[in-house]
This record gives sequence, structure tokens and C-alpha cells, in this order.
Amino acid sequence: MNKQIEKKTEGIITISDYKSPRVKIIYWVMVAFLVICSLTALVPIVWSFLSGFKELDEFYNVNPTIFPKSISFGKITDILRDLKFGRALINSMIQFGCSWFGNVIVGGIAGYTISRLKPRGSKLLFKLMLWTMMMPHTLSMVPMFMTWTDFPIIHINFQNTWIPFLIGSFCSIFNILLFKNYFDSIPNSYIESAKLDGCTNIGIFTRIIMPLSKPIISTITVFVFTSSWNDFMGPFLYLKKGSMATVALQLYNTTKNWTEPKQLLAAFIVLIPTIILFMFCSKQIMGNSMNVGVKE
Amino acid sequence: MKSSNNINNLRIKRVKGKLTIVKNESMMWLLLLPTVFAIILCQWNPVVRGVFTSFFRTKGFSTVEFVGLSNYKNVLHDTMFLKTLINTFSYVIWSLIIGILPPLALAIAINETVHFKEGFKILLYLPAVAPGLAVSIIWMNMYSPASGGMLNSILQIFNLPTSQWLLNEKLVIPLIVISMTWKGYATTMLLYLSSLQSLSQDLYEAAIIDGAGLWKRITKITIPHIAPTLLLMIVNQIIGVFQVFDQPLVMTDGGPNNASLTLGLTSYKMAFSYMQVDRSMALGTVSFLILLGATLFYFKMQKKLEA
Repeated sequence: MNKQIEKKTEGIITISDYKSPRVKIIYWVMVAFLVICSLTALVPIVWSFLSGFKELDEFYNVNPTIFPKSISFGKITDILRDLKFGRALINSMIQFGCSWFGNVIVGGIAGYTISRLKPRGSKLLFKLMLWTMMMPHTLSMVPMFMTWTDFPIIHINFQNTWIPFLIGSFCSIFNILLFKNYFDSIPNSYIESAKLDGCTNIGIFTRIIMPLSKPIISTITVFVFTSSWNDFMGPFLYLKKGSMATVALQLYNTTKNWTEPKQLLAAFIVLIPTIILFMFCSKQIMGNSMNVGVKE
Repeated sequence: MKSSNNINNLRIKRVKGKLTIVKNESMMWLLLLPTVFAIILCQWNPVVRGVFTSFFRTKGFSTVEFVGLSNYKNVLHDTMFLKTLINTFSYVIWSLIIGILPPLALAIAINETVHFKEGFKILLYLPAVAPGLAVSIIWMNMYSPASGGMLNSILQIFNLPTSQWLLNEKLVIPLIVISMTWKGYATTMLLYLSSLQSLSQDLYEAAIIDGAGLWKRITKITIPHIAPTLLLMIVNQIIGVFQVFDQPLVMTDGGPNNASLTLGLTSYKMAFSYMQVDRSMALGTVSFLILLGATLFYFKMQKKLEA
């Protein structure tokens, strides 16, 4: 244990402080605090899993137990069937596809244009985007619903189509900002030398920028997946047809009248994909949030 | 004659040059077109349309006649308005009491430890990736008044009487805020952490040479360094929590006895349940203005901090 502490090179406490017993106690209290908080972060998830397998009389039992009497996977398949999970999963993937196209392709091109091509007025656009991002959202839901259900001028109802999700994702300003920041950080010399070799603007984008941008693209992809998987207000407002419901919407619509254990298990099942994804992509997800700190 | 010809040629060349620039620039703007279109349609259009609608009487979702400020009068004189406004502020205040310190303390603790550092980071960040709806359903059941609800199970282990939790008018807001904090603290924590990691180690070393103890180092170096991030996070939290909407919608639907109803939820219910789109938009405009005021105030504060 003490060997590890010798590697400590950053932070308020230094190795020389650590020699004093008072600081040693402070340090280990801090570690204990982290352990307790990590458990608090896990408890609701684990509890939903354990309680989800309980029978109703077990759940209402006056002498509560931690572990369910049995863990039967039949319950999981029942819930998947009741949630119409297969169909809902396909719909969630379509939503993710729309959102991904808007965020990564359209957003990436916008970020590149603002960062590198810089047409006249793009600086103004960028400032306007920053201001727009600061705008409160209390006025967005109802007017947007009015707009999508009776689109101005052409009077088309876009409910039960994927158009609102596709167009809506064109303006995720935050991700455009991340792209712009990333493109800004690519050294100019790469592009200059490509230009000397006679590379066109499109060539520069596809041959130099795109290969260099894999990290930011994968980060934003992961980010888009979690946010579209978690989104239930959008599908709730625009996907009224039962066959178009996404996983999150199915969870909201169908579990309302279910028993507590069944609700918990369903919530747990919906939660699992994001947790698995997080286990594999924790670097991208946490890295993305860290970038927020260095805006502009 | 010859010289004027030359000048003409030059002029033509210059105009042609300008034309190719314009052509190029319009090509570039073509790349930005989808984004600009979507920003106008999805970000500015709702604000303009919402404010516009708030001055009209509506039938269904379409405007019928201009009524001036009468929607505002109706909304502001409604006895429920004051209650929901107080509720909304009470969400904000509870979230400040419960939610400000934990992420900061956790960020400092993670930054200090060397044991299991990455593991702590991942475990602590887990709630942030969980779908909000699933989180609300899980917490709703943890607060279940049945004996199987998690909190009631714990009370029973210690032979304490069980509680109604979310059905208790006084507890409902702090309980919802706890579930929101559980979901939201990790994002804030990472921001503090990145701010802490950008702090140069030299500063601490210089302080140590000057004989500064742990406490001095925290108050004189760490706190001033993260103060701007702290301010940003507090303002973000106030603005975010002020718009709270889907957690009470899922967990309590505004109950019991409207004790957890917020401005956002009322505005939603007016539009989609009671078909009073005009009033909903008046209420939305009121909270929009309150939040806009908060944002502008923040920018002023920030400028003062920078100066």
C-alpha cells in the first residue's frame, strides 16, 4: 500500500506530508469516503436487480429480505416479450441512426467549416450559436410540437416519422463545438503541406481530417448513443404509433400499471446496455465530459 | 487607349476574382446550411412562436384571436401559480443544499488518492450514464411506501416505523432532488476534476516551501483555482433544476396534492392535458424570462470575476 503512495506526484497532499500520522488518517478517511460513495452509486442498480426477481408477496413481506428466493430467467424473457423489446430495439436503433447522422456527419461538417474554411460571417454564426446554447429551454417543447405536427407553409404532420429526430439533431450545438475545438487543435502544417502537394479542399477533409478525427467521432458516437437511448420525451411526443415506440418509450408506456418488482426488472433491463457500453467506452464518455471544461 | 484597356482588363480580373470568392464562400455556406436551418427551426422558432402564442387565445394548437396580456393575467392570478413557483424554487434550494458539496468533495478526494483511482472514477460515474427514465422508476420504487421499498426495508431492520416517502407532501421535493443528484453529480464531479488537474503542481510546491499547511493550500490555492468552475456549475444547476420536469412527471405526476408540481410540469400539463396552450405559453414565457435574467446575471458576475 505504501509503495503505491510513493507514486503520488499530484494533488494537495504530497509524499512528505504523508509521513505525518495526521495526514495519513486524513488520506485514509478520504479513501473510505470514496468507497462509501461508490457503493451509494451502485446500490440502487444492484437493488433493482435483486428486487426485480422477487415475487409480489416477497416484496410486500413485513420482514424484508435482500436476496430474492429465486433468480429465474423466465422473468426476463416475460418482460422482454411484454415490452415488445425486439421491435422497440430496432426503433431505438433507427432513432440512434438519425441522431448519429445529424450529430456526426452534419455536425462534423459544420464544425469543420467553422474551424477551417471560415467563410465570411462564420464567426458571427459561431457567436450566435454560443448564445443560443445559453438560451433557456422552457419554451421549446410545446411550440416544437406545434411546428412538427403542422409544419409551417407546407402543413404536413411529421408525427410518426423520423424527421423530427433527424432535423432536430442537425443543431446539437454542443457537439459542433466539440468538433470545432478538435479541428482547431489539428496543426496547420498538415494542411499546408497537403495543399502544396495539390490536395483539394475535399481531399484535405477526406484524406487528412477524417483519419485524424477518429477519436472525436467515436467519442461523439458514444455520446449520441447514450442520449438517444435515454431520450423518452421526443419519442413520447412524436411517435404515437405503437409499432414505432422506442425502448425508453415502451418502458414509460407499458410499465405504469405493472407490479413493483416487474417495473424494477424492466428498468434494470433498459439500464444494462448503457452500463455495458460504458464499461467498454468509459474513456470516451468521461473524456467527453472533461472537454466541456475547456470550452472555446 | 492601351492603358485604359489594361485598366479594364485588371478590373475584369478583380471582379472575376471576387466572383470565385463568392462562389467558394457560398459553397462553404451550403455546408453550413443544414445547421443554420435547424438552429432557426428548432432553437429560435420555438421561442418566437411561444412568446407570440402567449398573446393569443388558442383553440387546440392554433391561434384564434389577439388577447393582449390576458393570458398572463390569468396565469399570474391563478392561485396555483404561486404554489408552483414556490415549489420550483424549493427544488432549486434543495438541490443547492444536497447537490453542491458532494461532487466537489468527490473530485478533490479522487484527485488526492492513488489507490484504485480509475476504479473509483468509473464506479462513481456509473449513475450518469443510466437512462433518466429507468433511474426515476428505480428510485420511485426505492421510495415505495410498501414494506419492500428499499428505504422502508432499512427502517424495518432497525425496527423503526415505515414512512410514506413520496406520498408525504413535505418529503416529496427533497426526495426527488436526491434521485436527481444521484443521477447528476458525476458529470459535475468530472468537471471539477479536470479543473483540479489543470492546476499546476508548482503552485503547491511553492506553497510548501513557504510553509503552508494543508488547510492553507486548500483555501489559498485550490479553492481560488476552481472558483470560476464552481460558479459556472452553481448557475448551471440553478438553471437546470429550475426547468425540472420529467422526474416529477414520472415519479409523482405532481402529487401528492400538487406538492411536487413545478412550473415546467404545469406548462406541459396545460398544453397537453388541459388544452390551454395559450396559458401554457404565457407560463413558459414567464419562466423563460426568469431564467434569461439568471443567465445574464451570471455573465455579469463572470466578467467581474475576470476583471
